[in-house]
Amino acid sequence: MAKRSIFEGLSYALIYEELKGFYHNIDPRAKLLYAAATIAALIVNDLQKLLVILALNLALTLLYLRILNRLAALLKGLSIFIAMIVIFNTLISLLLAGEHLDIYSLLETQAKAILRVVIAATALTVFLSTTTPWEIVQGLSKIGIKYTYLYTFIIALRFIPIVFSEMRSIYDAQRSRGLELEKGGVLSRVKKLAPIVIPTIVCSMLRARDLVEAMELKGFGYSNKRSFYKPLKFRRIDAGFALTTVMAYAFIALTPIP
Amino acid sequence: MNRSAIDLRNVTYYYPNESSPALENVSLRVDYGEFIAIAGPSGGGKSTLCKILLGLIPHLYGGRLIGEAYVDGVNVVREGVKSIVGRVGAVFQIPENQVVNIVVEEEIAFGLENTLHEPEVIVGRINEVVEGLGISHLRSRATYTLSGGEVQRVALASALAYKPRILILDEPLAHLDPLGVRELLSILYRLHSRDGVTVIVVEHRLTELAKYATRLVILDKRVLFDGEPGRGLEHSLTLGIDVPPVVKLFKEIRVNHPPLRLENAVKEIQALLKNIDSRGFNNCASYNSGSSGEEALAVEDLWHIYSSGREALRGISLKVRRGDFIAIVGANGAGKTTLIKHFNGLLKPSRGRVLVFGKDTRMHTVAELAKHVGLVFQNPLHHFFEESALKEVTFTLKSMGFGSDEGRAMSILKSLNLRNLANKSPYELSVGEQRRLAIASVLVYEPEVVVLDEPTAGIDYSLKMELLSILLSLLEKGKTIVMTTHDVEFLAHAPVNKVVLMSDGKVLAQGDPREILYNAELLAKAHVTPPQIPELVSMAGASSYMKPLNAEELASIINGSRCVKSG
Repeated sequence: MAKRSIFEGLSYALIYEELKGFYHNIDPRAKLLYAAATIAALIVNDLQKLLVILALNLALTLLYLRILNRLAALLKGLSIFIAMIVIFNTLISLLLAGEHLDIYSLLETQAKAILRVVIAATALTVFLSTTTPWEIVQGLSKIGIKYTYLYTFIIALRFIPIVFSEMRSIYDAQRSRGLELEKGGVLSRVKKLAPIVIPTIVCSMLRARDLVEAMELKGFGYSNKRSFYKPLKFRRIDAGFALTTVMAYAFIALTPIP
Repeated sequence: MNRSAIDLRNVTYYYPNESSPALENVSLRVDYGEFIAIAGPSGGGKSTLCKILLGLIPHLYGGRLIGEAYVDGVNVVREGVKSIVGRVGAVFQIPENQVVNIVVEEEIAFGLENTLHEPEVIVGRINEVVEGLGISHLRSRATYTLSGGEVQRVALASALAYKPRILILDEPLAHLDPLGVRELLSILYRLHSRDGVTVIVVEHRLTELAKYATRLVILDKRVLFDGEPGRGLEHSLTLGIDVPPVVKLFKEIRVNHPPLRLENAVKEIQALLKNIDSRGFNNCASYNSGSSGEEALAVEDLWHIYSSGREALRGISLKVRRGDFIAIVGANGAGKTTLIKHFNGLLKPSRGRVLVFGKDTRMHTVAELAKHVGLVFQNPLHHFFEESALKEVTFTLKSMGFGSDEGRAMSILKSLNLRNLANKSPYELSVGEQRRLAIASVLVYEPEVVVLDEPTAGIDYSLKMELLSILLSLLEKGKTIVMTTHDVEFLAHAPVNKVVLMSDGKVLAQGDPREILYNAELLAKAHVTPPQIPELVSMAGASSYMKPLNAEELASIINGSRCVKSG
């Protein structure tokens, strides 16, 4: 089986999946609350507590196992970002501590930083891969956010797989003309990105023009309000899910460590 | 109140910073319930006309528009796009670009939600359109997982949800395979005949469309013809329009009033063929008989499984010899592009192997293999990033290790008639020029094998003929050509020596183009329709003793039997 590239992995992890699982049936506002509570819980600065939060999040993925595949793809995609955090933390620690560098403290800082990324990635994967952008718009519209602003985000999500797939095709076209990104130093590699980045931008702009025209023709933005063909209902199970996760985080954050 | 669906009065339009008009003094009146085909060469103003009708020009584009344009009684030049929301449905050339939402039914509901329709009304309309278009099974699907044809139907469903009286489609057939074309046109015909929708299709592929349209308008900045399709096509053979082969045939054999449907041509053809001696035809074959030379490509039990688990290729075996011209034919999604991406190592086999002049692609980089195999991608815009056409071609030379040989670059530009455009930006070139530049940027380093992915997608007839002459000159130079296509009419003109018919990741058949293009059963299995002339000859019951592929070949047989062997 062919391997997924980093871009394909990111796209796969963050895009809505058309299946029916536990999280697909949960109200987007409940899932948003869970995601927001997870992000808020990241202010916790204790390694053990962060490990418990990670364990809780991983336990929640058991309700819909396919998320684990997506999480793995997202973490693979974020690996460069994680590596940059580790290097940055190390450099800062070296600069500040100099000869008095405490290696254990450095390792703990690194572990906490990585844990925060993994926890945030888990919540984000649960939320984005099981919620349609339309549900997000409706959920947030109900709390007073104007839908025209929200659609910017929706369109970005909608076009992630298309732009990545186009970029892949452009990369293939340029490789067929002899472009070798793998060779040369860092600067030379960055310069070699032009044959990929420029056509991607041009094609995305043409796509954006078509999209703007289509949205105008469908009356987008003609009214400050909009109707929703399938109104959301916040049920007991939604309240239960949101309340359980928020209370669990609050408990973890507020309980003193022995 | 204006009573016509469309009423254009002396419309002339200049794009911003342009001194020559894109449309010149165009007047057009369309009544409600008509099915109109608007044809014309690339750059003839067809899409500009669409954008004026949709109120996008001049409101979003700027420029200068003289004259008046009424759509459903509304002055769209004055009122703009807002005035026709809900009145006119539109489907663009690349429907994927007009889909905003991720789930099909959310996309269909999108417009109605914007215009504050009640949820019950929206649900009712969704049910109505998905059933009407036969896409009920798609309603919960993610739009990014759909095939090209499916996305087009979703875009159409979304446009129809408003129950518009007028439907405008800009080159909707450009990227569809033959079966997709027939399916879409029969849906449009049903909307026109059953629901009374005014259908306006802007298109240069007329072979199928002409059967359904009640009126044909030929546009090349001005209206050159406006009337009954059969009569219009007779007069448009020299205008760069893809005229149905049956019309060409009747013109060649000097029979007036060509029928647009094959059924209506059968009796006439049977009568004409009755007097022809049925013994031993050589079919006017100017086709290359292939080569028995060195093996250029060898595909051995090739499987390719994508990371999603989809088996795109399933046990493909194929040989290409030096000097061959091979067409890989199949519907969209058959695995054609996946197969050719193995020829220069862009994709590596999941199982089996591919040999390029004896080199196993698994052991060599793309850069190494690309020296032998030049691949021209479907979308020329995927190639371009430099400031000028010349630099674009020179980039390939440098990347391939030939240095910045401007003389060599100029020479290839000259051979493809691009010399005068060498210093122009690739983005300023016309569609045909861009396609030629993409080919030039591959041919410049003289690969032995040239592979083209759907080279005729979205281009008009004259550009196809231009492409054909480029391919012929490559063959004369001894190059090996592999082309993927579902354009069966182009295939009927191309001098291929072997057709490889693919379906669902497998090779259904490979061999002589005449044998394959005359095997309707086999083609149907691959979801491909036969070219018009083989279909006509088969319907006339003459396919057992003659197998002409295009109008010129059949006309030669009928006119002078120049291709009939004596006794």
